Amino acid sequence: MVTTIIRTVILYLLLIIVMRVMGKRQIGQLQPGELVITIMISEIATIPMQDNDIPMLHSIISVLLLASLEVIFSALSMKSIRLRSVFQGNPLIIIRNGVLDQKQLKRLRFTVDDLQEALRQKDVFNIEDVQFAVVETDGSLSVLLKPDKRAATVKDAKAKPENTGLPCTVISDGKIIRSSFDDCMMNDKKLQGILKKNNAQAKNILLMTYDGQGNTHIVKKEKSS
Amino acid sequence: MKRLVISVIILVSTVLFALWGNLYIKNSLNELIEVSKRDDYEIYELWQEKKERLSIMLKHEDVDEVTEEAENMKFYLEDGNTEEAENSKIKITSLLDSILQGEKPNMGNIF
Repeated sequence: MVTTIIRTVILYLLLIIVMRVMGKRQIGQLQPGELVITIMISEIATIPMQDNDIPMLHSIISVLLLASLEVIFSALSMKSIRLRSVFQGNPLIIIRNGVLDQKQLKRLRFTVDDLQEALRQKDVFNIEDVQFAVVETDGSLSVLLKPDKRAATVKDAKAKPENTGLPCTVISDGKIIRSSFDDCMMNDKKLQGILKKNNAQAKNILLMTYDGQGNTHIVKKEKSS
Repeated sequence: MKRLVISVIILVSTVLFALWGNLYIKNSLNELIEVSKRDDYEIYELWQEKKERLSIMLKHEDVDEVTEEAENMKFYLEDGNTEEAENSKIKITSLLDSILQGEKPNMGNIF
């Protein structure tokens, strides 16, 4: 039992390192190949946890090889367009100016029902409203509506909205987050000024954000009864 | 770029480590087989010395099998039953040989 605990902890740490090296991506953003590699890594890692007869080294070697090969091939794909199209495929246009490209549908093994479902998920209920629909390399559908069907933008309304910066966290749970100072043009002097103006101390603040344009949002800690 | 360099380092070091491990296993098993073929029954001591390291890389089931047979051999020797001890020694040789065959990267093992 102790062996299982030690093995699990080691493999957990290994997987954390491997996932950090492989980079941050959500499951929905993974390319099919990346998804398969991720599943394979998790499967291989569980084998020595379940069976103490199998040397853990076998799993560690396989996990490290898969992860490093994945990163290397991803990096090579970024350098070479040809390699990228081999490993990741190419996006395919399946609707042009409201007309379905049936040849591409067959090639993708996409049924009309699949397409309609994907369009509905994009709030599109009529194929004729679509100017272009593209099946991306990760299998998701991107839709560009015809100009008269697109939602009005601020530019269309000729409005002049106020420019806002990126609100970043300056104080979190009483702690000053200096690493975010550069993102929102903040410094210690400015922070002390804002705190003084709001009659607050950093240790009493749960959350403080600043957007670089002078807009501050402060949530003070509730006093515990 | 940093991630790529780390990955290449991991890949190269993993492959080198795996190759070294394979070489270590093969050398150790060859040495064990050689000793097990001799008449002096020193295979027991040598196996006890090497089994810990080998179990890092070999299936524990295989290692346990050899250990069990080595213990049997020792028991028969202490009991004065040289015939059974010899049989156990032959079994150890055969077990070690089959482990060695499994470690060779030939077409049969790969596919």
